Order: sequence, then structure tokens, then C-alpha cells
Amino acid sequence: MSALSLSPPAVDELLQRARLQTFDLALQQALVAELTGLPTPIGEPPLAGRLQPVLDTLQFTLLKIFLRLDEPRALALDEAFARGQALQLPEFNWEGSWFGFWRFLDECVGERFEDELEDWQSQTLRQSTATAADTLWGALLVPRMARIFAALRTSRAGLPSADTEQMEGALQLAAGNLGPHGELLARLVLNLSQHVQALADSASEPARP
Amino acid sequence: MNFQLSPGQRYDCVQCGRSCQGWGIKVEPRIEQGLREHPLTLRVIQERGAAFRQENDALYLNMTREMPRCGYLEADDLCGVHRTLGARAKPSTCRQYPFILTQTPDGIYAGLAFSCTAARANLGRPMDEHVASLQALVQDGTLLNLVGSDGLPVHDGWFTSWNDYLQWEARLRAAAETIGLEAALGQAAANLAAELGRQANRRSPAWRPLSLNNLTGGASAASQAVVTETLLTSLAGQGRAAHFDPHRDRAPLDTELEKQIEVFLEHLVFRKALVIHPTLLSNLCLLSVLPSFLRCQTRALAGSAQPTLEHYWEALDVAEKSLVYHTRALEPLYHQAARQLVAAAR
Repeated sequence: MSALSLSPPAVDELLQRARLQTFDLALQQALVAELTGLPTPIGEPPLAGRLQPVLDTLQFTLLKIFLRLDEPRALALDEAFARGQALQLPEFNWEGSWFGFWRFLDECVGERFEDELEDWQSQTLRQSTATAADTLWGALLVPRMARIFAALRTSRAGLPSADTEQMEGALQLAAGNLGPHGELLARLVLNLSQHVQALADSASEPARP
Repeated sequence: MNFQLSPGQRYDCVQCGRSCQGWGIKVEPRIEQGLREHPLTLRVIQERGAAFRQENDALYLNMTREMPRCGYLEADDLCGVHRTLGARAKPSTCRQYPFILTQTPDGIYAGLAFSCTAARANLGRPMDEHVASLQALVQDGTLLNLVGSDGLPVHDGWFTSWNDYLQWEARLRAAAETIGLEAALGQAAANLAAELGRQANRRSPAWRPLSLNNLTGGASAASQAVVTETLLTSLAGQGRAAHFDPHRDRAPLDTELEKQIEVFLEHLVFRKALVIHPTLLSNLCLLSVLPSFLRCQTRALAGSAQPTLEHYWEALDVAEKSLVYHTRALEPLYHQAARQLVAAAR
């Protein structure tokens, strides 16, 4: 893991890869390459798909951190998440399962803001002076959480779909916390990176019955 | 507590002792406390030096390659702990085996591991006579697979609902009535992959719902064959099954053995093996190649002799223990097969 920021050729290569597959997949590949030195062929998920479930679960964890829950409420949310039961988020006028939330997100946010999110990602990759790992984590996590915040804000407003204002606010909130210089990212990045390195180590171990 | 039981399935321990060897069985602190100074444990220590072994942060029964039998297993192949202290004194893995329980919105599906001699040979009392023991297991916090009503991962960011899945499973069973379950699973995998292939390329990694209604137009038999070939070769490379050779004859075995393969597949579908981790499509890929694996492995174990039920049981043991269960390290292979099938359908 380098203490240097992303070099312009590395950014160019990442953006070129993003054009050939999805931006998210290109970022996952670049992050794994940065943290472990393991290259991933274009079109393939890095670490044979082991990173994706981590990122999926991380979204719920980050949401809980943002909500600044007391312990009983955090435990209740964990229990509901594990059992697929309704999550109670009264501050966002939301009650429903985690996957119910994704149904809602699909309807109210969908892919309508992907251009804006990819612009933010490209700009961040080109301009960030943070370390390569911080920049790549930020570029991966901010759009994920921005979509979630936009959906929650839409739910709170009682609207059927998110508008530009809601997405801009959501992106600002996510970037302020999880962008390359975000305070929350700074607290988490070491653990997150170590987790990816451990995944890579376990992937290279021989299978055990 | 509502249990869903497999009609016609029977089970009772036949004291073969096979399931009490060769495993890594975790011992919970409460169990260790109860056993620590019991005369049974002192006997085990005397015989093998230690009753338990520490591995990472957990304590395990001391079964090793040199001493694969559980130290508490007595000469008559019955568990000394169960006999002397009762079922509740056993580690939870031992108490639960061979039951595989999956909590769903429609109740708990009570399946069986076919690595168990009695389960695979359908010996013992009907499953409804085990409900009281199953209830006690659940009340004591046994391990349950959990399937929510609204979030069954299908493949790469797509998910479906339990109700959608159940209707899809009913159609799978209906197709199996006509073409057999193996072919129906292959067709279902191909149709699902085709549907995923038809979806526009997604930019966002957000989860998105997928309807399982009207899935048609699957990948060609040739593409399916390539996926089967790749997955079997990858499994061979993992070294999970001694003697496994994916290039062996995969033609059907004799009628009795083929019937056993069908029974195993039916039980896997019943116990919801398709919807517990990791994803529906990768599980479909696995289940649709299992018959080929079983045929190859049965023939490998038979060598030049005619394959018998005993050879098949041995192959089934590996399939159940190492390919269907305890598969964390294999999940990427199943997932890769799923991606390959979707790519072929595009």
C-alpha cells in the first residue's frame, strides 16, 4: 500500500477500464491492485468476487454509523437486518426490510444520477491529493452512500422519486464523511484495507474441506 | 413453531459412527465446562493426551488425521456424552446433525444431510416424529439458515422475493415431472442466465429486484456443456475428492443409482439449498453439475468393477460434505460458473 496519491497514468488507466466495464468494477479492481498487488482481468470481479459482499454489508454498517444510534437501537437494527425483518428508521419515515429499501431505491433513484456520480468520481480521482487507498475507497463508497441517502431523503419528504436537489445534498453528505479527506473514512480506512488484504490472503490459501 | 417436512423422508440414527469422525467440531464454553472434569473426559485424555484442541479462537473436539474418531464415541458406536449426560451436554454441531434447518417466511424447512447413513438410505421414523426434538433444538438456539421474505440474492446485485422464488420452484418441479430434475435444473439455470443477460448493462452496483416469472430462452446446450466442463475441471483442481477425474464417463449409471441421484437432488431443492448462500444462479450451476460429479466419482471409486450402491454412497459423501456444505472456499467457483453462463447467454 503506497503513501502516495494516484499517479496521472494510473488514473488514466482506471478511467479507461471504467469505459470498458462499470466504474464501480474498475474501482474495485484498482483498489485490490493497490492494496494487494493482485491484478484483475477486465470484466472480472477482483478476488474472485469476494470483495462485493463486503461492500454490500458495509453499506448497512455505514448507514448505522451515520444514524448515530444508541446501542439498543443498533442491536435491534442488526437483528432485523440479519433476519430480513422490517428496519425501523422513523427519522426517514421508513419502515421495511433492507431489500424492501432497495426496491424503493430502485424506484426513486434508479440509475438517473449515474452521470453526476461518475463525474464526481472522475474529478475526485484526478484531483485528490490523498493517498491512493483513501482516494479509491472514497470513490467506491461515496456514490453507494449517496444513492442511499438520496432515497432516504426522498422517503422523508414523502416523494415518489428523488430530485437533483436531494441527490446533491446526499452526495455532499457522503463526500464530506467518506470522500478521500472525509473524517469518517480516515477512521475506517486502515481496518477496511486490512480486511481486503486478509481476503486476498484467504483467497490464495488452498481450499479446506 | 411451524416445520416443513419432506414427505416420505425418514431418519433415525443407525449407529454407524461415520458422522462422528473426521470433522472439526467446535465445543462451546458451556459444553466444555460440563465435560471438563467428567470421568468420560478423563478417559479421553488418558487415551489420546487431550480431549480438546485450541485452534485460533475456538475450542474443538480433539479429532486428528491420526485419530479421526471422536474420543467420546464408544465401542458400540454410540456417543458416550449422549448416553451418560444426555443430548443437551453435546456440542451443538453434534446435536443438530444430520438436521439442516432453514428458517423461511413459511416456517422452518427441516432437511437432512445425506452424508448420514440413515438419511440417505431413508431409514428410521418419519420426519414428523422428530418434531419435538427439532423444537428443542431451535429453542436451544441451534444454527438456522435464514431466508428473508424479501431478499434472496439471485446474481450480481439482483435479488428476488420469497414468494417469487416459491412460484419459480413450483415450475421447476413441474418441469422435473416431465424431463427429470437434472435436466430441469440445467434448463432453469440457462433460462435465468438468459434473463440476466437480457437486462441492460447496469452502471450502478445498487441491489435491484428481478422477477422470476416467464424465464425462457436459455443458453444453448453447447454453452451449458462448457460451463459444466469448466466447473467440474475447477472442482478437480480443488482436490476435494480423491480420485476425481472430470474426464471420466458421465453417462447415466444403472437405474437404481440414477434414482438415488434424483432423490438427492429433490432433497436439496426441498431443503432450500438453492436459496441459502451464495446466490440462486450459482447454486443452480452447482446442482445442475452434481449428477455429473456423482457419476464420475462413483465410476472412479469403482475402478474397473461395476459401480455399486456402496461406491455411490462414498461419492455422495464427498458431494454432500465438500461441494454442497462447507463450501466457503468453493463459492467463487460456483459464482464464476454463473457469470460464465450469463456471458454465454448474452
